[in-house]
Amino acid sequence: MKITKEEVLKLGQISMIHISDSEIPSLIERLESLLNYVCCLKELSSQRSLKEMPHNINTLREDSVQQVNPTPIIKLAPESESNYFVVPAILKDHK
Amino acid sequence: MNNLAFASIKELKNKLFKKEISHEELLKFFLNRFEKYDSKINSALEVFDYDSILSVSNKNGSLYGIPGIIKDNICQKNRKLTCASKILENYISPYDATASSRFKDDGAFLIGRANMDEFAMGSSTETSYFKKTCNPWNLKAVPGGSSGGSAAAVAAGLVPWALGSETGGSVRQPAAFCGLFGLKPTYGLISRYGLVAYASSLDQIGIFTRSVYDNALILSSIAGKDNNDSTSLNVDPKNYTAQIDEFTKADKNTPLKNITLGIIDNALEAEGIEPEAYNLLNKAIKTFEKLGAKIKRIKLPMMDYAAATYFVISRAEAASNLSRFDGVKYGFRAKADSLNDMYINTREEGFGFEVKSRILVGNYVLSAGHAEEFYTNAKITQSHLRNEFIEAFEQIDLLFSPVTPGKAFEFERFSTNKLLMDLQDYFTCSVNLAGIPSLSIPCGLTTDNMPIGFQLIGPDLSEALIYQVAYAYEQNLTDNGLNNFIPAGFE
Repeated sequence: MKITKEEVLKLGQISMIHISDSEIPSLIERLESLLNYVCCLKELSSQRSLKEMPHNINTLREDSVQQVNPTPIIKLAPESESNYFVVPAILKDHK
Repeated sequence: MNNLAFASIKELKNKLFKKEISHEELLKFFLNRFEKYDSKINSALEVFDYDSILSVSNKNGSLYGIPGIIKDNICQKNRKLTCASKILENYISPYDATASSRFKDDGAFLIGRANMDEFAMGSSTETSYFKKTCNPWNLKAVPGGSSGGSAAAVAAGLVPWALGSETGGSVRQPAAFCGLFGLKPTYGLISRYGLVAYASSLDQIGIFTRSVYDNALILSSIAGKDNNDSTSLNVDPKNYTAQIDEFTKADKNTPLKNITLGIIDNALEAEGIEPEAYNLLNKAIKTFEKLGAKIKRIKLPMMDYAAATYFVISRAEAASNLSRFDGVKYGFRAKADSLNDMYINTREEGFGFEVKSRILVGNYVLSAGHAEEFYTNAKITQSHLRNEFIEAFEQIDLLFSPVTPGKAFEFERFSTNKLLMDLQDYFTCSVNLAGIPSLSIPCGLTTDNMPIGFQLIGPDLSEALIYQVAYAYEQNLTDNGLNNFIPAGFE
């Protein structure tokens, strides 16, 4: 299977990672070789009709409110103002 | 041989108890070991200072005075936690992982942070943003990965135990490369609270030691139910050393006469196993026969699909788990004028190539049009793989399999073929997918003095049995059960 430059850029968008042009060839190679290897899973399921069997079961617990001291958490922020995390505006031109 | 550096935890506890050495002297001794030798192997990202190590350990704990190192994806309160990534370069953990706090309660000395592949993604510790760790057995070779720093530190006698983590084999493979015992426990036995998530349904903390007894001792300290981890099993903490010598005490010559060992034929006879490794593995099987075990050869055909299944599921979960690293609340933040640019620049600059490529693959196999072909099929295959193991265990007590195709490879070996690097997980990842436990056990050295290991795989929660069988094997290897795997230059 072949991966196109457009697909890599689209994946970058979904993954929220900027992809520079110089990285594209090596990413294509990486993706193609792995995806070609895992194609065997498709062959397996078409050769044998494997039914889905349960494995992971979700566990729930009571919802309980805990007070947490925000100070050590806010200290880790790249930028903060009192107990708020400060980030750039959502829109470039937003004032 | 330096008696103290390569002493077992059991022996160190004895020396402390008899007051042959004080806790403070022992700590200074191991800190000096790091100072003297770690520049050769670079196992640690950080070695803590003497006072702060002492200050957090419980003097009345059963492991008081025993130092160990923790892989840098397991939180230690008020210590840096980087996952060997630029994106967490200056992050300081505000809390202890459950494993860390249980060790502190038991008095263990947490001596530092061990190097690893970035976000545990790799099989050689080469993707660490900070430094390269060398295998103490051959400084031109990798220690394995992703828990390479932890393995190297124990193998070089800088600490008697270390914690690593497994998603696809990242404790067992470095253990095999470094001549150590490496446990991957049953999924859910050790709490994942405070272990930075890579693939949440596969991740488990693992343990490196130089003896079976020591491994069981460390497991006893940290295993058991934790309310902070909803995937932790409802299992009480227990003493895994309690009956470790049950078989050897009952029958010195054929201690394993009531054990049936299944050799995974399609693993042992797989293409690509190095001839010397193959010979050492077969020698280990003969040892088990000599110890009385019934040997059966079985095929597990679904194992042939394990690597593909593992690649899909682990990358899919990683794509999800690593979306939290976005520069908002903690960690590295890139310069940007808009929020969106901040996200994409932070993650481009903060993550290494391997991490980025795995996130992209993960999102590919989850995306519309591909999810059914890849992810759904992988989940179905995973169920069948686990089932195949469960069926095997109806007739077999434990399974025997290689851990690696051969000895530790040299740096850059797979730099032009990353798929071959990925396939280092081939012998180990089926166990992670099935959620069952496995112990990597050193079985000998090649003619050029490099360790080879095999693994004993058991059904859910069979750690105690695995230890008993491994103990019988270990006692047979050496007169006194002490690990003679000591690399030159570190004695």
